[in-house]
Amino acid sequence: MIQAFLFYALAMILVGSVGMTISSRDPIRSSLFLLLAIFNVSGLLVLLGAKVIAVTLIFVTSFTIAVLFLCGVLMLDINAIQIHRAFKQHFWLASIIGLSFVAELLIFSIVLLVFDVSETAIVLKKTSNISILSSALYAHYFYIAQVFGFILLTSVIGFVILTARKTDLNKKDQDQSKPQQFMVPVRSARSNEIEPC
Amino acid sequence: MLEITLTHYLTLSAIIFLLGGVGIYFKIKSVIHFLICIQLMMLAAIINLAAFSCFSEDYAGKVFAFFIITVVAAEAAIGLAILVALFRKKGSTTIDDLKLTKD
Repeated sequence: MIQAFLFYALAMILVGSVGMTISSRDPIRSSLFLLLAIFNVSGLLVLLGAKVIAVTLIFVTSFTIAVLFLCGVLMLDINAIQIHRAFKQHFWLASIIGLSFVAELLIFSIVLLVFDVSETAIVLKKTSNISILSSALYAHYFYIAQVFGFILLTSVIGFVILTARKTDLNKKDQDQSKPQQFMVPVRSARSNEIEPC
Repeated sequence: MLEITLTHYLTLSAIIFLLGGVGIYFKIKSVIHFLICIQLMMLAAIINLAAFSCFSEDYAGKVFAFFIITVVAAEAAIGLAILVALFRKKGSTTIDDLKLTKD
């Protein structure tokens, strides 16, 4: 009963947030809804008894979402003034959504405290979860784990190669392609001309 | 209905996978949307593997869900690196500018 309630609640929020993720035009908003979807998926994984994977999923993908969010902010030239105006416009809607998140957190924590969910969840009870996972990783699937480590190493090297550039080029590009909207006119002390700072 | 079986989890993961595919097919504006939709499909795969490993009481599914998380991290890193290189080259991140790889 409790498991069914938790499953349906998490699944409904998950499908809704996935729909909002793919339907919103703003990349920042869709990445934030992706973050909500990831938290709900980790809740489903806890229901399934895979707690280690749930924690790992939150750690790894929240980092990824943070980087995506930063890239969205940096690349899509969104002004700080626009963000401030949007904050004023959508303040009540945002506060309702935030309060619903807090209410959901409280409801789930109360349910988890009052009822014993570990009996309803289907868990392999004989050994602990992390010992199963670590023995599987380092005994049965050792070579596959090494291969995935090489994949991560390759991705790091590829990231550095794709994004690295020389410092001279960097300075020149920064001087040339400084966007107009971030310039603030400042009257300098020497002359009366308006200079970008 | 109140008994949660394997079918529920499989249906949920199929819905999420389909929504990710629909997002890739219809709603592409920028490369960031593309990466986000790929992440949704990976999430669906993680739910699928964890559900099978739980209901068939086999730990192999959990191990492979763990591997999928590493693939998600690697894919996001490479995608963002490509995005940064594209933005330096073209100045925007829309999907039409990916045509420069053809030239």
